[in-house]
Amino acid sequence: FLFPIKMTSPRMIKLTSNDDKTFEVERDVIKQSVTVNTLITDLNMDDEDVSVENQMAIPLPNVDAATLEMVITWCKQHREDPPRNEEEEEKKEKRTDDIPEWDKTFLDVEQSVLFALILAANYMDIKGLLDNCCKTVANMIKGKTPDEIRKHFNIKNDFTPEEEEQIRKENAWCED
Amino acid sequence: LPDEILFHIFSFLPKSNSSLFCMRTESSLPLIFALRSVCKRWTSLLSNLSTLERLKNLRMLVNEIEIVQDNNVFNIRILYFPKKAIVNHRDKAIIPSHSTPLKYMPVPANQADLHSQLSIVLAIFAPRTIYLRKVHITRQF
Repeated sequence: FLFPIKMTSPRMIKLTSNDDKTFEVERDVIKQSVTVNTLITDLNMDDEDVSVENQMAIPLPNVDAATLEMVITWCKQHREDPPRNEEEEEKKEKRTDDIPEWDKTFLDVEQSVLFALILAANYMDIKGLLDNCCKTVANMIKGKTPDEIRKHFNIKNDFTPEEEEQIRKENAWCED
Repeated sequence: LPDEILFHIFSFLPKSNSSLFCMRTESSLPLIFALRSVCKRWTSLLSNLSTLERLKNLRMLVNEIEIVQDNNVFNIRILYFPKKAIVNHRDKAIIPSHSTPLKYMPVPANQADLHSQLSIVLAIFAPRTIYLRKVHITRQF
């Protein structure tokens, strides 16, 4: 007897970056993006009968191709992560020394790339990626003097000498 | 980076006094002070952050809000969850261990103003109960 074997290939979703590059990504991988997940559900795109060729691509107008590629790579790496419980996350002590080793290496990129990833993670609502990017930036801030922070992040010192003196005086007295 | 993201980044930096003072920078300036000295935007953001943090902490403690009228002024008082519950054996009521004035405000001119002012207080503090002139009004909202 020959039984027809139904090959179940993973459900794919198409995403288009703001520079018109289209990526095909597994549904299970991109479910980590709350924004994309909501769109898929709202647009009824989970219909198994629609082939990926006929499927509408989800436009991501705030994300360029290079960043989207990185986001997808991150999502693939973290596809097996347990779902986040936001209430539990809120209660947890906020720390920056718990970034996984893979993420540390992955996020060891130029500042402009890291900031683009932060903006993409925020727009696509990928909490895990956003947290790890923000922790990476927080680690860059820790231990630096105001001048070093300005230099590191290319921030202009917009205080007048008088204001700077005032801040210095306030700092001497200020206790939260 | 937008404010909301900077807020998120700052939220990962130590906030309590003890940890702040342990995290001294090379210039022996506590971290929060170093951040405030970076630029005007960060100063402003960190002021908002500490205000939000204080409100959030306060909100978690608020059990009841009591509004007492004193002539033309409303005295809005917060009753905290009791740290050690004091039980009044006569009527078996648990009396919150302390209350504290939150805000004084002029008595609103009309019912609509009163409702909108109270809605703001409720939205910020989400107390379990709210009493106005000793009348339980929680269910009116």
